[in-house]
Amino acid sequence: MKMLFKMAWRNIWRNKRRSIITISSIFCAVFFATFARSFQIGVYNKMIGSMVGMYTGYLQIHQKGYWDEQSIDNSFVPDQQTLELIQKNDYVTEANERLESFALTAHDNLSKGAIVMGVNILKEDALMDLKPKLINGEFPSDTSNSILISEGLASFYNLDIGDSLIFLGQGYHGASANGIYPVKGVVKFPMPLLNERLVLMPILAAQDLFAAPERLTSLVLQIDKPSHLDKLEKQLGSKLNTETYELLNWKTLLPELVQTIQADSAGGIIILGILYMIISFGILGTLLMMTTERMYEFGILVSIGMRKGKLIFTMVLESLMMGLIASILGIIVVSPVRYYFKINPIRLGGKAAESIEKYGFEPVIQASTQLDIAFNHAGIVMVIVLVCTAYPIWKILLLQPIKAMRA
Amino acid sequence: MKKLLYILLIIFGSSPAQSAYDIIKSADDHIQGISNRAEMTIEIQRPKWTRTMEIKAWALGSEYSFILIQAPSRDKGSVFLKRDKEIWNWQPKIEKVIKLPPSMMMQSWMGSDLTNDDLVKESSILNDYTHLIVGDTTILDRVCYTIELTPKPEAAVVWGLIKTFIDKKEYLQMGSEFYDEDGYLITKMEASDLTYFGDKLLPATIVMTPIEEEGNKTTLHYKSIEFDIEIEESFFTKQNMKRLR
Amino acid sequence: MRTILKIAWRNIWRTPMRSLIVIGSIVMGIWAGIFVVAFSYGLNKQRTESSIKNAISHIQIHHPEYQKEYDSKFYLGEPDKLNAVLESDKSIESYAFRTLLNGMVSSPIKSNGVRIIGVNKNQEKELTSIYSGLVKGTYFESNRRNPILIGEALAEKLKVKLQSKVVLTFQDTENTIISGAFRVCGIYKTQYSKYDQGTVFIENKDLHRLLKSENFHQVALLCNSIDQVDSTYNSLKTNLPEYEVKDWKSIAPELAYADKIMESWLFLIMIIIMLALIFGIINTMLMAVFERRKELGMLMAIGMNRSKIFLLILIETLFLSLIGAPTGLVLGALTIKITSETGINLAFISKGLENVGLSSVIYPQIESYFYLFITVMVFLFTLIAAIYPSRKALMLKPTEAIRTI
Repeated sequence: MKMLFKMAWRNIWRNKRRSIITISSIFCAVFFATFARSFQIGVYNKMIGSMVGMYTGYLQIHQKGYWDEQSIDNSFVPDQQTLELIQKNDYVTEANERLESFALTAHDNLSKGAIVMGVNILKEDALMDLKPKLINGEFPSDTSNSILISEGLASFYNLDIGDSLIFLGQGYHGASANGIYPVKGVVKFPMPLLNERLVLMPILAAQDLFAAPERLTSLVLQIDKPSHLDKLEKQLGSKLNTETYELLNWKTLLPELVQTIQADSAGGIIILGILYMIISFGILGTLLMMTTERMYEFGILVSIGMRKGKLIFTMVLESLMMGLIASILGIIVVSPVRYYFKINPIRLGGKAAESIEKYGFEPVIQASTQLDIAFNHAGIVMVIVLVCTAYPIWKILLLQPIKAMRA
Repeated sequence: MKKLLYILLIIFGSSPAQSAYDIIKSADDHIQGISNRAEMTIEIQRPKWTRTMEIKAWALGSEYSFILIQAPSRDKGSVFLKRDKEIWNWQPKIEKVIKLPPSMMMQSWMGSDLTNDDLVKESSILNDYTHLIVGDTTILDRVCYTIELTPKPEAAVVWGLIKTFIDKKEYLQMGSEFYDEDGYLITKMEASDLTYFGDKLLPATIVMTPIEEEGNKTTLHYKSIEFDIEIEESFFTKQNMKRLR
Repeated sequence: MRTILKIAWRNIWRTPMRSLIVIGSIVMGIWAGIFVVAFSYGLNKQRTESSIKNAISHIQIHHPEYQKEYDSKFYLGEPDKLNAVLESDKSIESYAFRTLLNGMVSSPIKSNGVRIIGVNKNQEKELTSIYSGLVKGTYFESNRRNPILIGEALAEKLKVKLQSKVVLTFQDTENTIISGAFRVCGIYKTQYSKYDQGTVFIENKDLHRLLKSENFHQVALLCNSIDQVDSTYNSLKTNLPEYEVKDWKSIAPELAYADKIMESWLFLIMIIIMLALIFGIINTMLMAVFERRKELGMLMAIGMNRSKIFLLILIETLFLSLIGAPTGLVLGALTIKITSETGINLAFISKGLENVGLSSVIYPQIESYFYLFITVMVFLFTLIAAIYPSRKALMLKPTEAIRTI
């Protein structure tokens, strides 16, 4: 057995030129497949990041049952244990407190329903990137009762900075919620749904409005890297008290986004499949050539007594070793290229880009540097190599030594 | 709540051999032009909390009424004004009178099991239903007619059937049951604590219970009711909302 | 020269396996190029069509102020005149008048704020396909009074089913509150449960009877084909200056630019595919050259000069391409022809598509100039790919080559 390994290894380097060609063919396969998929995944991640960043965040903690019935009565007071758990976790960069509810707003003779988000404005700025969206005025302080309103509300009521808006609604445990709040700033949200009716209020003022002192409807967790989401979810999930709390990730919070990506992914997979077909042809071609070239050598080996099985085994071993070398090389080389396109994504231009920006998305095609993509595709390529060895195996099985030596 | 108030104030002085419609109509006729002032508490029960409000109310017939919240302190000074089908709200904190838009009408009133719309819906009972006496019941030692109200095809009401129990002697409404079209009981209203307010015998306690929701209940309790007080339609104005005591 | 051609041709068929692989790669390259482009365009087209058929139609007409405030007081004036203009326009296939209001729907259990859309049943059937997306019941075929169509999510929330009674409450233009009892005649489902929860459909005749007015807020129309939209749009704008006319491109610009956005993406993918192809061919040809070094060495030894060897390899590749290219082209065209009629069902890959309200069937389609473009591109790239191996052939040393065992 050891001898076969040695033989395979030496065979590879006996004929450098041939091996290099074969290795480079497999290398190309790994490289291109990973490269293409990195772009596809990169675009999805960017889309997710934008949508998730706009509102929901990647992971949220609620009172158990809140997601099914989003009423302020399902709010909670976070306990010390949970807060410490979150603080200690390295993946969490920040935890945003939110108290969300509905209220009727009114001014002069007009009224309109609005979503009221009691928040820590600076923390939300970090998550939702509010500063560039602030088109008028400034942020209220945490202790004030001034508010930020969305552009849609401001234009509906024709409100200026300093004007006041009336809120009427229902608070915690049926208490009535009412108050009048001065407008400190106006924010333009890319999502029309939010832009028409969102109010950001300092959380202390909101807790007072809804008679819900110290209560939250959600804790939005900011992660350092989206790829850490699964690990974070597992870590928190095991320690969190599941009787009182629920932990939901963006996939549950934004099911429509998940569906859109799935729909898109189908097309992407077909295209990837086509790429693989071309790649496989290339690999098959080189293996084919190699076999033809070595028929003489195989003929000799068999005629001096090497069992065909061992020969096949050795040859397969060679292919696998070359495949391995090629894959490792492929992964090593593709990484800086992906990294480059992550930092410098391809920019779309013109009207097309504008229509994307309208929805708050950046019009770029970016590559992802997730390691698992590289490994997955290296793996698939290795399998393809294995499958392609069927041709040489078949040829060897049919081999008639005399004929082969006469080639 | 007006619906309750007015259903409650079903009056007497009518002759015995009556159709169901007549029974209910007499009550309705009597209500037009009757003024009253009442003080009451409303207790809202939920599985996880209970809230008690103290309220003072003025009414002229079924078209005009004021509701002033006296307790709890957070809501003290809030006023609701009903004129015909419109509801207005005054909040001392806001110092502005707001008209409730239709989207608010179906919202629960002050967190109770009643909606804002219940406050304004009236003659619905008479005009939207056909009435039939189906038998007798005894509630709290009082013999009552059991009257079934079936909604007319055009009527904009959610119920499939309402059963109401009216005391034969004083024509007091001792209870009602609200069914959906499949025959499921959705809400129950029960009256008790018959007391003399002035010279009128009325139930002082009314309980509304939604059957589907465990542990939910709204209880009305009248502390006092005065009838035939001197108020005119001009009393029920937006300006007066701020002045109510 | 003729000799070289003859030799080249015969060389190809001497080693059929090898030649077939190269031809195969070329065929694959062209076929792949054609298919990817056609598929992507087909995908986009399908999305656009879906959106138009299910949601936005080709053109929408409103009162000029309506889109800003969605206030029901901005209804379409002179509906008869509007009707006449639309009726007489031959390019319009179907149109529908709609009344749009905000209100509440209540059941014995619960209430919910909703968007009320009043429709003319027969007009709508020609225009959109909601009626085929019914989960239960019929599209206003019931003979009960005031039928209403609600979303599945709403039916669940209100705890109602077919034939249940619900009460709709809304306001007229004078802000008087109006309510009416309606019976659920059908339940629909789209991919957006929020939409299903917040949108109900009733018949215009019932709505107008309750409102005591005949006001419509929107006309949506479909042209005979998407190519006629621009001219219809222009003629409507001229004939109906007092209304706001919008075409689907301004209603949903992201659809209009979907093609443009996809082109950047396609470009990237095509480059990757072409590069993969080139490398594949280079490797194969390189192998071929080295496999034949004895024979090439022999040729050089007996006096064939180097440039002729170079030419020989190049011409062999040329022949292979000449065989491969048209084959690839024909194969590609055939595939497109077949799939553009039968469609490709993506359901097996992604369930998400079924929910997305797109039918999961894609019909690939491609502009004719692409065929030529891709074929020429692959042809050229193959030749370029052949240069390196050909040059390598020149570097063979005849004496060494003969001696190889």
